[in-house]
Amino acid sequence: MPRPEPTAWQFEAIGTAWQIDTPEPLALDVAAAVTARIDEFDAVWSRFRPDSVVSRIAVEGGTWVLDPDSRALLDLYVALHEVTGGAVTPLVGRTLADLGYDDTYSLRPVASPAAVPAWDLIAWDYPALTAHEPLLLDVGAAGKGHLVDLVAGVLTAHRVADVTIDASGDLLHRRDDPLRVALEHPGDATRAIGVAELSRGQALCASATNRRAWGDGLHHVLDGRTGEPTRDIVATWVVADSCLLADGLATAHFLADPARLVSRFDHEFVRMHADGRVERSPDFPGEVFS
Amino acid sequence: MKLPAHKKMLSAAAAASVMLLTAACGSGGSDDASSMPSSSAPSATTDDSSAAAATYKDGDYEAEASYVNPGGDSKVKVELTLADNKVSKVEVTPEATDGTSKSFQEKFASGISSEVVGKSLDDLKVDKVAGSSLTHLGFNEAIDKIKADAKA
Repeated sequence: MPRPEPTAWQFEAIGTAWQIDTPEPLALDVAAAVTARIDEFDAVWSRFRPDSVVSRIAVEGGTWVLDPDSRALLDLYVALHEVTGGAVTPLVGRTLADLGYDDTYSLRPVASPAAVPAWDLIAWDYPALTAHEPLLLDVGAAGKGHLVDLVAGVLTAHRVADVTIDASGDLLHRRDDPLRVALEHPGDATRAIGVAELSRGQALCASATNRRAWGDGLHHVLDGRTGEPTRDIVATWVVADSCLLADGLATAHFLADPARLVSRFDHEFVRMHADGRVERSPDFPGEVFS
Repeated sequence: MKLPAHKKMLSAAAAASVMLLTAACGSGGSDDASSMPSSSAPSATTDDSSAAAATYKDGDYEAEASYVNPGGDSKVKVELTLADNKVSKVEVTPEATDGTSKSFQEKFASGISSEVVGKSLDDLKVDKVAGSSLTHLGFNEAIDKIKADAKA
């Protein structure tokens, strides 16, 4: 007997398209709780809205007490910063904005983009985040993945056990039937370089620099050591047990030696170089075409 | 009851007056951005999503560029063929001498394939697609706006 088709709830939030698949439609109060959780996250971390905590830190600096849900996100940033030798950092916000990825999406770089501030200008001692001077933080490397985990937590709290959450490139799969996900070729959206097969509890995050690019060599993945967009890697895919980790590592694989990341974090990856070469970890679930 | 997500404890007033004055001290490499063809080539094969939607002359192009990657400075040679504003052929010759790629290649030799062309999505049975076409909605709107401005 064929499985019943899951119900898809599609909506737009934090500027991106979401789809939540469940066997039964979500109750209204559950959907409202999901929406509220996303809004809460946005109110803290969005650098695109002037009233967010991040925007206020950019103006005032100082010490801020963050909610418990922020802990995993910033802890991961600290770990990624360390293992990538400073390439992954939330301090790229001003540089990204100067390069054109700003709150109005001007997409026009200023003549002299700000350098990425030194790491020791912030201090993270849960629950206190201190900015020793006004700083524009950007959690784009892992924030969306973290939010997917938080939404999953809301659904679990409402006893929704079977769900797939897809926030445009950040996927969390919590259903028994495996989910087959094509790995889109970064140079040709009609093709795939492989297929990942996710089992219950696995997350997949994809990142690519080519589409979210707005000029010669300008895109959203910056190297924190140089303040410049990366060039060598054009796309990454990471499978891990949390969407936060998968998202953060999808960024880190643009910037770091995969051997270091593999030895530090439990995950599988595929990444593609600008010249079309593809690297993968031996146990990546699924298939990579060659 | 929900706790507020945050609360400011104290203001570092002294620190706040120290503005970030490093803006002019960029790493000086931004000029390279315009001379690095490989990063813009892949997008040209899919659509005209780069900001300056221009008309390019058909022909063969070749350039060599150096760039900084996690292992140090690297060089690549890029040869590409343009036809009808699309990249019909691209060949990138990595001339990296740094340690990162080398050590990586030794450790993951079995996991590295040469240029992957991939398979057509039409031929695959999948539930979802993960990749770059799924980008920020506002971003895509902004790109469209810039294109419109450029034509005006």
